[in-house]
Amino acid sequence: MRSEAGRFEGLHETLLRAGIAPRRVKRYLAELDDHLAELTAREGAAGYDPAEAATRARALLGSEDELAQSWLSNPRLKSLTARAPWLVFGVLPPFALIAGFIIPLLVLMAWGFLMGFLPVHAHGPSTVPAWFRALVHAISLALNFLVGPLLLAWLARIVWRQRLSPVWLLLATGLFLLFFIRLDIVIGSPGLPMRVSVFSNLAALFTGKWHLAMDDDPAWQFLAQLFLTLLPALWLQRRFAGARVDREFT
Amino acid sequence: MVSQNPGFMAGIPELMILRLLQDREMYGYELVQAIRATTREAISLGEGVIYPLLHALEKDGALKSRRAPAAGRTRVYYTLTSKGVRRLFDLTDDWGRLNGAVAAVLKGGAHAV
Repeated sequence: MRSEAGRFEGLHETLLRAGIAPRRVKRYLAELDDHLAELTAREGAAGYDPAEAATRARALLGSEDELAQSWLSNPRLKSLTARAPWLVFGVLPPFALIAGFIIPLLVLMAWGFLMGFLPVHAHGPSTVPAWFRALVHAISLALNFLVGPLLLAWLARIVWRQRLSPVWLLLATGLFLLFFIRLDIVIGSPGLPMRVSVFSNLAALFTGKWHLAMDDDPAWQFLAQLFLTLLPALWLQRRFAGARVDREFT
Repeated sequence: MVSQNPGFMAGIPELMILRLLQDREMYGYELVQAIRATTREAISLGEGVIYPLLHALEKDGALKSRRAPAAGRTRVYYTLTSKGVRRLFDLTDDWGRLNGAVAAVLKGGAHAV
């Protein structure tokens, strides 16, 4: 049995390319499918044989151009991403990137304070258990590899699903590379202070403190983070290339 | 036929949809058939083109929808919200005024002739 998207494939693509949100398109196609079934049943009840009833029902429903036009004439039905891609891909990502680092850290710190592990004094006895020290360090490193790439993967999925120009993802990727935040938190052993080091390309541009980026971390971590940041753009490029090939052969 | 003149039709489908949904929840096919039957086929909305209007009204908060399975398919039922009721009253007032104004002109025109 063909899916709604398969039955109305041309309409599906037209609406996505016009900026209608994918969830709305999906629901519309389901509604059309139900409508078509009702019309077919009605025509069948009127005495037409099944094949003729199906043909008549499809004609009554309207051509794909007529159906698409009824959506295109109403700009309010376009998604925010289609109406303001500059906002979704150019303005919001840096804020989301910073929030993606800050929120987990605030949660960790709040937990540390509630448990009485923090604050850690430079020369006082540390009450921080080894497991919490290891957890904070691991999470701070994991955020480097996860926050930016996951946000970009999500944006790449939006670009693909809404058939937007890949340029918008390149813009977001460029912004992430510009910021390129690296975080490292080490809660010291007894007698040693907590060390928080944050590196950002953007800050280094202004301060010139590029050496902070390479002080402690091995080069593979930079390269891995760089690769993961570029991965969503590479994936999207492959999807668009694959779709182009499919169109050429169909 | 009224439906063949887009100028006359502006705002009318919305008014009719809101009025029909005031009585009970309905789905797209039902609405198209109800409009056709109630207006004795004087007004006939395109079968597939009612949905953008329903989605737009829902986006404005005038309608809400719920999905229900029907014979292995997904059926979306629409109901009027309190905002939709206010909109219906506003549109009904507008329509009444417009209708009265046109009737007055037609009546005057008849006297003139």
